[in-house]
Amino acid sequence: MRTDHRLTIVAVLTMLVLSGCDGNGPAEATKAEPGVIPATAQRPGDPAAGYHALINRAVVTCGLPYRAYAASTGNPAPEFDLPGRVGRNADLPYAVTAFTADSGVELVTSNCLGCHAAPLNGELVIGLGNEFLDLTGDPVMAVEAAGAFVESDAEAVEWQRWADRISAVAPWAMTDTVGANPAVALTAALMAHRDPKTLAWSDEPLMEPPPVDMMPVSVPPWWNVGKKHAMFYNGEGRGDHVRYMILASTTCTDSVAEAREIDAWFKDVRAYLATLRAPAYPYPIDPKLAATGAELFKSECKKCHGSYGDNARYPNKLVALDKVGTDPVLAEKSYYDGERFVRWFNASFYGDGQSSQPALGYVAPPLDGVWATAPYLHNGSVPTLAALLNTESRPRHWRFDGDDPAYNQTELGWTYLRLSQGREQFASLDEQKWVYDTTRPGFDNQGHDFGDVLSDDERGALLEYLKTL
Amino acid sequence: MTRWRRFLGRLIPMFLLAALVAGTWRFWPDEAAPIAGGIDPAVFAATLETNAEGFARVSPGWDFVFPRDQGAHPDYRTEVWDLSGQVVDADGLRYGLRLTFIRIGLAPPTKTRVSMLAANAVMLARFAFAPEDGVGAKISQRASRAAVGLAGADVAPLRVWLEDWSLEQGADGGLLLRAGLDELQLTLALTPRKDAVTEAETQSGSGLFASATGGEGPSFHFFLQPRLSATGTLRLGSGLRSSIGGAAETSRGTANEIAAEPLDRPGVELRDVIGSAWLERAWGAVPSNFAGGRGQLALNRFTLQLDDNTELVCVHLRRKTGGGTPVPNCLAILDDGSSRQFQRRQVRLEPVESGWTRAADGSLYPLSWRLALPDLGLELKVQPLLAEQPMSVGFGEPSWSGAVTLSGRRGDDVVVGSGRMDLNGYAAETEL
Repeated sequence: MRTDHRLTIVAVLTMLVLSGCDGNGPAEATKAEPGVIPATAQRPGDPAAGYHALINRAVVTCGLPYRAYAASTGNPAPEFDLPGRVGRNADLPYAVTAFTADSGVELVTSNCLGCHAAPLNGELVIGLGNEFLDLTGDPVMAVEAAGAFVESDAEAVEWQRWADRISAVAPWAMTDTVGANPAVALTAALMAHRDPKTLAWSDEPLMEPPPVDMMPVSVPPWWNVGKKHAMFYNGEGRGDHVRYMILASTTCTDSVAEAREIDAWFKDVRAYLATLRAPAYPYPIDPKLAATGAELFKSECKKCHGSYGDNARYPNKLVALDKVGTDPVLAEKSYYDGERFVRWFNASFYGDGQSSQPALGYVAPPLDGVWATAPYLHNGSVPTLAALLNTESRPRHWRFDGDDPAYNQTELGWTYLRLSQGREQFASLDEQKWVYDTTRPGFDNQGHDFGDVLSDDERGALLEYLKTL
Repeated sequence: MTRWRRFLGRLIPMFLLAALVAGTWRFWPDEAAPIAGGIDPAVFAATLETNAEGFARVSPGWDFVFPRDQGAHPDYRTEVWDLSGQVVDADGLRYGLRLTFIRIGLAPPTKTRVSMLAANAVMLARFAFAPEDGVGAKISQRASRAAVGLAGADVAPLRVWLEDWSLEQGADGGLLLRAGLDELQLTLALTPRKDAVTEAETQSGSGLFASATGGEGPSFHFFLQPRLSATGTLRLGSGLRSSIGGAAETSRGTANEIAAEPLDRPGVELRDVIGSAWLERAWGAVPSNFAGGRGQLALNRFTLQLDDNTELVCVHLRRKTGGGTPVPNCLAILDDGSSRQFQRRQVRLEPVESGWTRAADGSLYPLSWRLALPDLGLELKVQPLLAEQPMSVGFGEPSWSGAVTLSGRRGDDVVVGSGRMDLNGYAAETEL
């Protein structure tokens, strides 16, 4: 079931790879201009070893003692078969990983798959962003309450470390909308609690934390890792992608030595991610109509999104905000207000040799498997591809049709309900959290209006072609 | 349902519902003390060499029917009637009181034996009485095997009693309380002013009382009768209120019953009293050892009645060793009887003074608290009726339990009230 989507905490801890850090040094905070993003050689790695590590090793090195995990959750069986999980992990849900801390206490912690894997037609697809994550719960209540199941002194020490970290960044880990991912602010909040040189943790922030205003992002698919020259929607993650990916560990990585160790095996994980391919569209496709759409794609979309098939080419273009017209908040915040996080990143192990370059624009992403990655735009504000191609049809307020909506083969996206009002029409938070309100800052659904010039038939043909990618 | 929510669904009701009887489990006869590390009915029941098998097990979706569910449920092994309140006499003197009955089944009822009496059980009871000036404060605990004329719990209509202590259904749908102790006799007629709040209502919605479906919820059913008006008579024997310091004696918890000081004047005094009370009811399997906390956590609890017809049940979870982020949560029962939950970020609940040190064991208890629910425009100060209360007597890990008064504001209006506060985990060796 799509909505049976793992622990809130798991997701909180594993979405950190969507960093909002920027700049290239305290004195030379490099910023990029829109245009083509140049390639950077990535360190080679062993994809097979990377897969094994991804599903078995802990990148977040603190967690809940296993005994407390088992007692508090009832130790649920895995819902999906994840080949290659070994030892204790073979018996755990895919979104958590067990490991033994130096103290000898076995811990359960979150892993990357909490955000970067999702069920699709009954199967778990690694790399598909989970757009149904519910991060509206209070993580402080969850982690503190878990202490009820922690008994021994050694376990108590491990639990407190984990709980303290999560509590410190809880205001940035929560959202009020299902599917909205707060990774950008959360990553910056973690930076605020660490010395960039030593990576030592401080319970009190060492610099001003980011604002708690929500900047929702949709979780991008991993299968585009191999094509993209830069990470993140604004293309700022330039250089060695692994260093950005392992920012996911900053909840608990307390020393440069530990970061270096994670970095060493995560290059294999990146190599594995680069081998991922998009899932094929599982429903019928009209080949004739798709062929018509392919011609339209060439004329209307190819310039930014590239070409597919035998002569595939992806241009790696960063499109200026005034041209793409989508919600500018994410790019502008990183560009204008992220100086202290730039300095932190560049002074840290993670920024060593990196060139993080925020820009006033967004990357036109590869469209492989785009049918599966609804909702659309960087903030997940447009529920279907049909709506993406027709700005007039985009709902101002909407919600998924239930917590396990069917796939809409006409509009390409998860079935949604168009709402006449925003959150205020619902009394309970349980209802409100499902409402996507595009009138809020950072949640805007306008821009990318390139489909408006097309006729309904043309849009239909284009949608048919997009199914084939 | 996310797995995390499932986890909360498993955990939170356990604490919160257990909290409804928190403190109750400490009311065991003195003969069993001292037992280090807390005493609980599971341990007690084990000593009875009974077999828990054969008793009914709690499953979700109990269909509450009143007044049926006021009465005993002998199919379930343990059951609690816990009545707390405060009354005021004509002179304005305020008294805190608490009368608790616990039934522990020794054997499940057989199909062949049809009885309206929940026999084959042990009845335990405790009566605490705390005048605000501390004079003549009393506590007593009793135990008896259920037997007609001595102790028992009727299925219908409600009548639970142990010797001359009783709680029974009155003719008008209300309750009648009788409790005597030495020279003290208290008789109260209790009239419900609001409908009972059941577990289903408190578990609806999100957060605090997260859904406890799938058999992962608490091991007992419960309901709260949030407001009972109380009118009655306090009969004070001669000399009962002549000695000062009874409460301090009581709180050492070494005596089963703190007797009145020697009489210094003859005669009997009758005082009319009025006030407010509430009744907490639970039945099911005995949860072991979490009345005041579990694992790394300790639990404080506030059951409060405001004079604007609002009741609050607040729980304050914190780490026993200090540090971390305390987690307060409240359930408010509003004037119209509807209930509303307030989660951590909607509640401010914190001690406002360094605390009061219990002389007997050196434990430092924060007895003054500030509670704010901004969404209700409510700000309250919670203060003990008196620091050393007989309700504080416990066994095992020390605790503080006693009557409190409330004062504050709701918007532009002044509000006052009364209630009970239970503080746990403040034993001398732990930090505040």
